[in-house]
Amino acid sequence: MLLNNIIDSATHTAIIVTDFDGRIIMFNQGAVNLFGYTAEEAKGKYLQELTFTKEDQNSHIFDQIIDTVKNKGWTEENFFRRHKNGVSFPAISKITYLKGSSGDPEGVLEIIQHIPTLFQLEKELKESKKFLENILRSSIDAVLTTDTKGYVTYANRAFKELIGLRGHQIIGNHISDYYKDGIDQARQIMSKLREFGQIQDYEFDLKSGNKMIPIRTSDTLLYDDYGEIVGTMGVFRDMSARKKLSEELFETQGELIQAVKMRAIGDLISGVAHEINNPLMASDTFLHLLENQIGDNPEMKKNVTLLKECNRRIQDIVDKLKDFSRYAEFEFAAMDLNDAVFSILAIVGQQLLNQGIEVELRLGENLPQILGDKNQIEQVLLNLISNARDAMEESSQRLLIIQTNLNWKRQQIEFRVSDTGMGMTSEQIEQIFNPFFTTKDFDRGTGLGLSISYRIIEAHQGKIDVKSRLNKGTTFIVKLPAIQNSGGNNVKKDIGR
Amino acid sequence: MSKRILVVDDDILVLEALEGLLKSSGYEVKCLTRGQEALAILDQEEFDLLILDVVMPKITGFDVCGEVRKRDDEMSKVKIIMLTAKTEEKGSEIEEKYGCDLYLTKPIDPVRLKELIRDLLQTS
Repeated sequence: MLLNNIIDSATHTAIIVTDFDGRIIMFNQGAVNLFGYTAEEAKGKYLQELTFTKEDQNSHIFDQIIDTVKNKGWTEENFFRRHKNGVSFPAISKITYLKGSSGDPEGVLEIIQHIPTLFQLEKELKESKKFLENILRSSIDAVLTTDTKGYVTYANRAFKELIGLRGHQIIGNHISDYYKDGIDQARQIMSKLREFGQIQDYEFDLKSGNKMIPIRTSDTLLYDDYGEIVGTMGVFRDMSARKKLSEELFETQGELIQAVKMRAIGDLISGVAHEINNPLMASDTFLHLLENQIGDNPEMKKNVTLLKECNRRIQDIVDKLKDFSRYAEFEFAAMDLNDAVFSILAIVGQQLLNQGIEVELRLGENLPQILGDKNQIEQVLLNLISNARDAMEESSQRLLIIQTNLNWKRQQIEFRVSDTGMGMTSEQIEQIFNPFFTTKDFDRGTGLGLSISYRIIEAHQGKIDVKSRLNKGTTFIVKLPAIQNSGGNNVKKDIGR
Repeated sequence: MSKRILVVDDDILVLEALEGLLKSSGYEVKCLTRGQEALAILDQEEFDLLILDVVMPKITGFDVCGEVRKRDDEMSKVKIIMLTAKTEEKGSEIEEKYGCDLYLTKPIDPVRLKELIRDLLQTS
């Protein structure tokens, strides 16, 4: 009973017992499922008639099987069988003697399984391929394979999106088409791959039309079943967003460090300036006394005058240092940036013309006002214009551009002062806002103008930045918060050139 | 009789310079480096003008100025000039707050200082 249960539980394997002539004695549930007959229908019938194809019924195939079993004890057969409905199908079967309790053969046992057809195999293959492709297609990272020569054999959806060219044919193109440095880069990557078998987290720029996309890639060689290299596979991750974020972070950090540094320097300078004032006052006073004591000796008088000149210079420096360290004394009021530009040009415009400098104004119209200390903002403008002028001393083309505009999104007024001067190196740019840093000759500047400007803009909750190219020119960019809702609508100004 | 001036500054160089300048202008000058010394001597001697440095250890120029103004009676109001090496405060506000006559920032041109002192002492 238990045995029958077990045999009938094998619903996908047919188990059939016959006598030596092939008459069916037992026909399990698996056999019912495979051949379509009920157990009652099958019992007593010949196995050959029920389950063999018409051709095999007429041959002696069953007799041959029985012979083999007699000799060997068992056999494995692989041939087409027939369903009740007439359809034949490939099957694999094992046939053995069924031994009785005495140990003598009492019948023949056949265990039969259906072999999936080629069509089904193909279908399964397709399904598995589709599954793998779906995985690749759903991947956020771009995946690309090439043959050994570097021609693309597969590109997933993410790669196509990365390249961003609609309807662009990728398969068959050479991988170097997508490298910024073209074929050299492709060769470099391939030789690394051959050396190490894989590359991890290699960063480069991927070419997408005219754009360059920063990419981090991991690549491996692809092998066939015999261990031969058949191509490469690369996984590409778009680093644009991350790169931008880290750049912004870096920039913010830089600004913070700069701000802290400036404040520390400000405190230091304030202290130093005060310390100098005492001996300077004593020195001035002693010189005055000395001047009265030496009478008319021209040589000595000259020396005293020179000493006084020294003191005056020290005084100048200290005064500028005080300007630098004094940032609590601003008097803020609503003001027009363009007005400040005109005020400053009224002072230095003629001087610039005399030095052969052409001034181009690109002033935005109806700009919102800013909350600023007019004198201080003018001081910044004057500093930037003076620097531009000095930078263009050796230039054949001398063009000074002053630009103002509203950054609508950030609600900031931006002004730029650009020159066509000698420009700066990146080392110089890094130090440009540091007190006492100057690229000018000794007698031209103290190196405080820009650090003072920095402090002034900082006190206005603004930002000052510089862009420069060596021998091309420099642009200073100042951003100041616009007063909200002033809109400039009611303060229409006639801005001319 | 020449006018008497007391100068208090913890910086010896400034003190000597002012002493030289004021003596050359014909004033009688006494120099001290500490605020407490100034308060002590003011108990015993009379001066026409005090020149006080603001930042001094322990007793500052402001302290001396405040103490003097407390002791002053209306008739013999001594003139006070405060000198500072600091620049943050506004002179006029300090003058009003501490009751000094002038609040000057170092370094001050010696010629101008002489003129200011002369004008200040003429009115008394």
